[in-house]
Amino acid sequence: MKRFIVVFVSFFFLSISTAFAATNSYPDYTGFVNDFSHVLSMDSAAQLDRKLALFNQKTTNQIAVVTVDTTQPETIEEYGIHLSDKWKVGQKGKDNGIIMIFAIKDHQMRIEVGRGLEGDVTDVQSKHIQTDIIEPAFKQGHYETGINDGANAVIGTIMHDQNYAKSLTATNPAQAPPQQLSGVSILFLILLLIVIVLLSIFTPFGGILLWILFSVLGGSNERDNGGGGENDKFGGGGFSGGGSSDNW
Amino acid sequence: MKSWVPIAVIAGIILLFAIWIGGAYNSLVVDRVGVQTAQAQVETQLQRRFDLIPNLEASVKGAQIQEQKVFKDIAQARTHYAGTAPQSADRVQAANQYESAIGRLLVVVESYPQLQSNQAIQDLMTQLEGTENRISVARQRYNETDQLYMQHLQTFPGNIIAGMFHFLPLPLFQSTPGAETAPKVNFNQ
Repeated sequence: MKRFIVVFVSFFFLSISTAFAATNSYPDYTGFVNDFSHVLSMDSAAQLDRKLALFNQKTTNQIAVVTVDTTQPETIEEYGIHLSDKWKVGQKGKDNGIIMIFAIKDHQMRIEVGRGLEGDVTDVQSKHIQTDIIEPAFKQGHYETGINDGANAVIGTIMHDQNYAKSLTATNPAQAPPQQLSGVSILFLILLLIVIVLLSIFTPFGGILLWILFSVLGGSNERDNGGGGENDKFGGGGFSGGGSSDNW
Repeated sequence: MKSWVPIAVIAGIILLFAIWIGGAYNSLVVDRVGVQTAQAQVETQLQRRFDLIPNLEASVKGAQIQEQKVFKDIAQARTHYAGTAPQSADRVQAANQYESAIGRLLVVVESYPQLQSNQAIQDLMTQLEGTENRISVARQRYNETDQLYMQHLQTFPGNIIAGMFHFLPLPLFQSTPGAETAPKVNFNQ
């Protein structure tokens, strides 16, 4: 509780000092989950990363999770805004990014909310996610539970549906299930292929048909390859200091 | 040697000069608009704080806390702040005065257990914290854009253009002296 005062007072001269005292070096991101402090198991980090990637794919909202040992010499608020300026989590123009920062040795955390999400995840809501969900788990040393539940709560808050995150895990293994073709449509496709091939052999304009066929097949391949890649990058989301901090 | 050649050369030089001046002028305008936008951001967040405090104040009063001196200071600072024009030196001073009055209100909130267990007040505190953070971010960005503007204003050719077209220097935000010490409440008053 003493922190209120400390934080408040530090704001007075933070604005001046930071322009000159940006001595921290900020890490590059490795994905949606950036476990620089190694508090997550490989499995759970990968699982969370998949969930956040899927969330990004479905809604374009980008959530990044960062664990570091310490944010010193900066406060977590200063560190948070500088890191978000560097990473630019969220889509350009939508500014729909959120960074969850956990400074493990400092026992401090912060949810940095992008400009475009400040209405969906208010300061008070982000504070409650920290005090009510993450903090109790962290106090018992359960970082994995705290971070996972916290991320779920952030997703739920954005979507105005606290069960939304569950739907992300439920569909996760079957993400992009191969389209089941019924027997009839397969038969139809084979017939079509035969007709096209026969036409291409016996008619003058058949070559064009064959070309169309190949370009359609090629086109669908391209789409499959290019789908996910772009979304993995953070793309220019803006932050203006929204969110809140907490300690444990 | 045709007689129009020297005229054409002079005209060409004048044209190039005009383009160069125009470019320098435009970039100064762009800089200044950037600073003004950043300034507006600061104002927005200051206004947000301004709107927030009465709620916090009312909640504290509602909890039967008697801190007349603090309430009086806040009321005074608010009147002062409301009477100043945006972007004036007065406004900056008034904002600082308001800040120190708010600081004392926060100390009050800290020192009463019944306020700390009050969820509504804690939520207001969170909002206030968020606003303070936004103010500091907005000020920082203002300073960054202003630094650039001032640099262009004082270096060639900006300094000449600035003199011709009245580009005025805009002040950086400075921290107030004594701001780094926590405000104290005198309970005897």
